Amino acid sequence: MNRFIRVAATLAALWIGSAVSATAQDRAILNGYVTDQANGETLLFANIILKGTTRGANTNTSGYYRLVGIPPGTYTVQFTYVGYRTVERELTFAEGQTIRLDVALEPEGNVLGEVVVEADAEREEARNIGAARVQTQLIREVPAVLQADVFRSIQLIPGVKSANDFSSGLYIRGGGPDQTLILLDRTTVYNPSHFFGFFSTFNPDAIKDVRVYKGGYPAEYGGRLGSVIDLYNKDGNRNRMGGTLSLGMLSSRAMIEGPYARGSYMLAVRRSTIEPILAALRGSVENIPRSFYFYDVNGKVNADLDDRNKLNLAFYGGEDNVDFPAADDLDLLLKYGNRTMSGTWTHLFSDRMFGNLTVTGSRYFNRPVFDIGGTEITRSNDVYDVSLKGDLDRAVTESHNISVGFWAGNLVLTLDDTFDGMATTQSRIQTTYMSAYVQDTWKWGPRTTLTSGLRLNRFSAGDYLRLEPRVSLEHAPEPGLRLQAAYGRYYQFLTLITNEAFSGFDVWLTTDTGVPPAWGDQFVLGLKAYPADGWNLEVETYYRTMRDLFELEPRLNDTAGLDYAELFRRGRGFAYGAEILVQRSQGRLNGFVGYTWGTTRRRFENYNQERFFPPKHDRIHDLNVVANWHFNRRWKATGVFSYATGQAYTEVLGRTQVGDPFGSGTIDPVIVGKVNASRLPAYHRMDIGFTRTGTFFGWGTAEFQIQFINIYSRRNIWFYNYDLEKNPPTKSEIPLLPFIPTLTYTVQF
Amino acid sequence: MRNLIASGLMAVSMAACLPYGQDAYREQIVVESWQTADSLLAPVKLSRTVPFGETYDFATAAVTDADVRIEELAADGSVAATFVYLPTAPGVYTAADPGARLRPATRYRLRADMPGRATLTAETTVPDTFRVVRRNADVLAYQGPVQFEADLSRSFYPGRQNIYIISTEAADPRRVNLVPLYAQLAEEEDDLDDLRRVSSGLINEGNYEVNADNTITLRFPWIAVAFYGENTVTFHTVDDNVYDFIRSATVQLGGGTTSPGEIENVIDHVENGIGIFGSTAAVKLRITVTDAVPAP
Repeated sequence: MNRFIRVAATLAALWIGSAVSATAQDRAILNGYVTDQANGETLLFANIILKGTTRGANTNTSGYYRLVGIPPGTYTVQFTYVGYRTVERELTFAEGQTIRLDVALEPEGNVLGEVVVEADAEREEARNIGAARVQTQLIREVPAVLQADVFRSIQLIPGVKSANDFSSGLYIRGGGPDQTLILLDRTTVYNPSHFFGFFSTFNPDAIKDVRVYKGGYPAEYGGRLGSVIDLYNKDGNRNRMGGTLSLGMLSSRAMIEGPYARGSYMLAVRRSTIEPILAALRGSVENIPRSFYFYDVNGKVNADLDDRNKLNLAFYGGEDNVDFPAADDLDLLLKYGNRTMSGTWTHLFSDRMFGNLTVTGSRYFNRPVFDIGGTEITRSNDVYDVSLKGDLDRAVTESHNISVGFWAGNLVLTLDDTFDGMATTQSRIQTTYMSAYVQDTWKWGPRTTLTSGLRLNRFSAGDYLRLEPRVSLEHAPEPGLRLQAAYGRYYQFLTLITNEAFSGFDVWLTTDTGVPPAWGDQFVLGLKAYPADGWNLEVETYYRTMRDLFELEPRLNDTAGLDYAELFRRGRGFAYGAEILVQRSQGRLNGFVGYTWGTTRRRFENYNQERFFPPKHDRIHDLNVVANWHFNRRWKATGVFSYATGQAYTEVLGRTQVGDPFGSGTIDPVIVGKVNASRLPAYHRMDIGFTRTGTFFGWGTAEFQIQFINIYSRRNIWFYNYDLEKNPPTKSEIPLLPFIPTLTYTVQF
Repeated sequence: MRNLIASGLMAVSMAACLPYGQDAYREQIVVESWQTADSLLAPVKLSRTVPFGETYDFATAAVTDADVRIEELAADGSVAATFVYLPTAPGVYTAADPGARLRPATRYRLRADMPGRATLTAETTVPDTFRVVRRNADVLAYQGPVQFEADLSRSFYPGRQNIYIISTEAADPRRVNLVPLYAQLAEEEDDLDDLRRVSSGLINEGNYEVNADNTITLRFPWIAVAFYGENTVTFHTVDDNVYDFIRSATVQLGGGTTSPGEIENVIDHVENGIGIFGSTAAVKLRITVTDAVPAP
């Protein structure tokens, strides 16, 4: 603890020292917020430039921007954001003057009255290395099985893969789902899934912005080896009351938002509406659950106290509940879900310093109960995470911007298993975690920016103190072209026990004595170019290591009485690859093509003869094509084509048979060679959706969507099943999704 | 320049295809021998693996020309006694001394020599014996208020806790005697003899509290009863070989945390072959389960 405080104090002193050493600034400052004119929502990572100069800035996660060191004079300031009309303002700055300019950008659809999107050659969204943004419009438009889904849309980005059609889990740049930090309004979400992993928990009506840091992420984030998904709930419409009603085949959604005297509010509810279908099937079809539902509620209240202070309170609650009688005397009950809450105070300390302070609370629980012939097997698993985090961002000089922050919390993980009324596992892990970071963004001349940072982590379970250096460099040799490089070291103190096929039983475990944290280095090189109006090209290559990986030993039958360290297998891995994104954001035909060439490997002690092997999600080639075609003002089509190298699997080569002295049958071991040395057939699928926009009896706008998943009914293979009860044994294919049509009707008012 | 680009592309392609080719099937010798402490030496079976997809028949796969013996090892690793095995059926080898017994808490080595092959060897440390100290009932109502419990003296296994398997063998495995769960699961065409003996899987001793008299109380779960009537309950403690073999075979084709389709070979402790040369210590007792299910 003392070590942590000493090092954190040193980092703070560095920051304070740099602030004190800053010379008095005579040049002008421009700052303010950028919002959506239609609803007052703050726009995150909007671009602000002084035309004719190399000065520019982006809004932060609060929608705030700041330009410092402006020489006296008259300038045209340009505000741009993809999907919004560019705004320009002519401003005259006197020496030492600070101008506060809050700008509201108008969505392009509102202005043009037509679907053709006008682009601007100078429009450049903030595209930091390793980062990508997923627009909520894309989430709603991309054909999705039964309902729109945030994570399914993220899976279309180069470098992000899914395990299979049934899983919304994110496998980013070779990492597994637990290597990605999921934040909702700055709060960690531990199991972001519904329907046992089929969908993510995030309601697209409630989400304002999705930022994906695929790798090389900056010092303000930490705690995961690979990547960060940073989501923000909508603030709510600050101009007028409105809402959305959406009826879907699996679930329906309702959202209401509006202003009040001091700010805005938003409340979104989603609930499964599949019960009537289940009721109709019950009696005629076997294995229909006795009950099944899921729901989630997102809410946010904002209070604009004055032009320097804002408060917001955000919450999320979601749960899945199933009661499944598989046979007489054989029942499965499962309840799992998440609750999160956060309160954020955003404060503008001065023209040069911006900060926020957030209190977060997150809870994840799962409660499976099996009743098998009078023998009850239960699990009660909870994660409680309460934390306080703060960030300060200060323009120290014209060329230096320094950010500091901390994140401290208390994490409690409980796991109680019973078998036949007897406690078999009783585990309670309580740990505190603390981290602090300092980051300097140095504009090194007009074309080069160097961002360097340090993040210090302290984790009490096992008493670990770890330092993470991060650095990134960006050079713009000419307008419309940016070259980027980044390096970072990352530590992870948690591991997830999960199964690709089913996420309802997910359990988190931590480091402890004898179980050191996993760590890895990431190296990223990138190129961002804007070759023509409305066109965007991104190329990134990466190499990353994964060391001291700790995973639950998959061949442990029973963990009772074992030392904590004996629960895990230790290993290492690496991943490398290249990603290309070509995007067109204007015209009747727009969309993107994303291609990933990648490789990842793992090696574990006492497994696969300690050779590196490809995990199942490893795919060498991964291609996604997303295209929107605007027929006219009413009709629009969206198509998605995906192709990927077949996933790795283990081919069964031989077999034998021995008697079972404890049972009546036989034990039938299979003989394999290298683990996952074979490949399934290539995966490909095409989805198409059509959207018709109209009015709902003059009351609001209505949107009717019909979507066709897997239009040519490709029988992609999930895995092979081997049946050794037959002699000779058989091998059969377990297929992924067949052709599925989906209907959705949405009313916005 | 063109050559440079071509070389670069080739390097990238090779890097993407890290050499990790699929192995070809290779025949292996399989040993099977389940020994029990303080019992007569059990037979040793030797066979060959067969390619997946081919019909398995032990008689066809049997190794008939092996020279088999089991050596009892002294504490210093030297051979204290040798038990010669003789073939008694295709692939089945039986101790030449019909009265030879397996000593508890003792280490044994199996050696099998086959023409043209390296010697197959495997070793087991036999768990110490234990006994039933107390039991709470002889006759029980299925899913009634009283569950069968037995207090066992503690076995011993070097270097780790005891690991148990509980199995139940029904005396009268007829359909009319099936308990409701198994009656539902057993199809009409199923051979009920497959359910005659059911087992619990591996259970760590850490699940149970040690009583003041250094016994542990094992509660018998209802899931382990498939038939009403007389049942023989056997409590086994297992050696490392059985433990590793069972735990790895159980999840080989699914059920663990590995992704579906990711398969690893079963963990064995056999040199120049695969299979199981393992030992257990066991006690047996009888109970009667009646169908007098109390009203809820």
